[in-house]
Amino acid sequence: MNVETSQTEQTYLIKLSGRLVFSDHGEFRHLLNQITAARVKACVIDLAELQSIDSSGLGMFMVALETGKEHGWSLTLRSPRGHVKALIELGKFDRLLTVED
Amino acid sequence: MSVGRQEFEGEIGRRFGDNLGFELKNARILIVDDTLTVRAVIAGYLRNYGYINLREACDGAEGIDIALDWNPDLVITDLMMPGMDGFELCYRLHSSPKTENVPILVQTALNKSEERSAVFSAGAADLISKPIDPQELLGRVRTHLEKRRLIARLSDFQRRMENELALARTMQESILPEEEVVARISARYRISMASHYEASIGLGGDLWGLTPIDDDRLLLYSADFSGHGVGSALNTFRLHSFIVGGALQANSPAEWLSRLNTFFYKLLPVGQFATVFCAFIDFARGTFDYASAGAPPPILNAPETAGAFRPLCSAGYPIGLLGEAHYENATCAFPPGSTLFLYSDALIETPEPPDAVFTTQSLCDFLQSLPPDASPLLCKEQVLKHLRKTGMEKPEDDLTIVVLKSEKGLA
Repeated sequence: MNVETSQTEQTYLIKLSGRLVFSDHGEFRHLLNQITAARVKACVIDLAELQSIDSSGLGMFMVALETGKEHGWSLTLRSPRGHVKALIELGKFDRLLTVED
Repeated sequence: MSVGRQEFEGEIGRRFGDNLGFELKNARILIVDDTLTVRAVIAGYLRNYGYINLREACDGAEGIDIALDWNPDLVITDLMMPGMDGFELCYRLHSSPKTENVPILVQTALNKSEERSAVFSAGAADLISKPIDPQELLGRVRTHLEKRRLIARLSDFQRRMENELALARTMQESILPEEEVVARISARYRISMASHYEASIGLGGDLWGLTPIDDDRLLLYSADFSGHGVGSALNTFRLHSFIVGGALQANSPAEWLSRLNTFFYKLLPVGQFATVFCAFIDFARGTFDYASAGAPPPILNAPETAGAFRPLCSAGYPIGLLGEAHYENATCAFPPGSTLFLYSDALIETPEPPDAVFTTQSLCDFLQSLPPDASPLLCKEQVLKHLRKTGMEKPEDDLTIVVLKSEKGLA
């Protein structure tokens, strides 16, 4: 996966591109620590440029949701496209997580 | 020098000598030098440091004989010797399979860089400058022995892991339906079947199975645990035990999934889950009920779809994510002649989207392009053949395909 991050006072914005898969697990965990360390109230993960995702990648969003609950920040997934959007809908992840168009 | 040596033997030698573990202490070290005193000095340092397994040779020829017979862990050799010199010794040791990996330390007074590089070209692992400095000698000896020991341990570990994985793979294959079980069930319910299972990295997170419910009804399921490798594979064993242990009693596919979810919700850590498809096929009524926990859309060809392969709606909460997940039953006509095609996501994600060979829709079109009376085996073979055309020898995820056809005219 490729990651671009930016931060405003309240929100941590992460733009993911490429693919989010099994082997990205370590890096994604590290990202979650960064969000928590930034002491923001909200995290938005922009998926518009994310080409593909596997089941481990979807699992990472669930881990992010739990981590946010624990440390007081909310999680929003934004603009999933194509295959990523299809998989989010297939597993009804859009009902477990906040997903914006 | 003798003062320095005594000092060394007296203090540093004892201090470090205690640090040599059993393996290092017993390492076999061969010292090759034509000068008796030099051999004695080197051996003295080594012995004082704690090495107990030393042998000496007075020239290259004797060195080779001892090395081939004794299989040393390390060779320390002089360069200039009558008869066979140190260069020749290096070449010889490296050209014999028995000693090709033994590290060779060459004592040298050569200071020119081209001369020193000639020693490395000959296959030496390291140089020890003359006159011998005890700390340098002991440091280099220890470094190379430890490196050799680490490599041996790693190779050992790798061999053991490979054996373990091979055994685990056999076990995993044994929880998939056996050929004779499939044949018996096929005869009993008048169906024909074909299946394919391929783990991405030795062990996989996919499982499928068949369980007769009664004379008319058969339960078919396929599951895919998130991730792959050992962790996912262990989950397939949990699933298999839960099902064959008889703990999973349910009156409908939705109830079956719901019970499975309750079981796995307690076991799986956050972020791990399984997508599962479950169908209760009723051959007497010519229908099946199904429920799905986010499995890739199964493909159905039944007379009600006018002979067209169409994806079923399969959205649903994956197993293990929610404590109280609710699943829906749906019913499809499945009279004789109908075909149900199940697959894991690797089939529509190889190579990764958007470049995948198949999408669910193009898979439907592909199946449609096969002869109308294509057997499950032919469907499976053609799909795999098409998938391999991309040059993907092995999908990055575990791949499962199950094709089940209700046969005509046998009832």
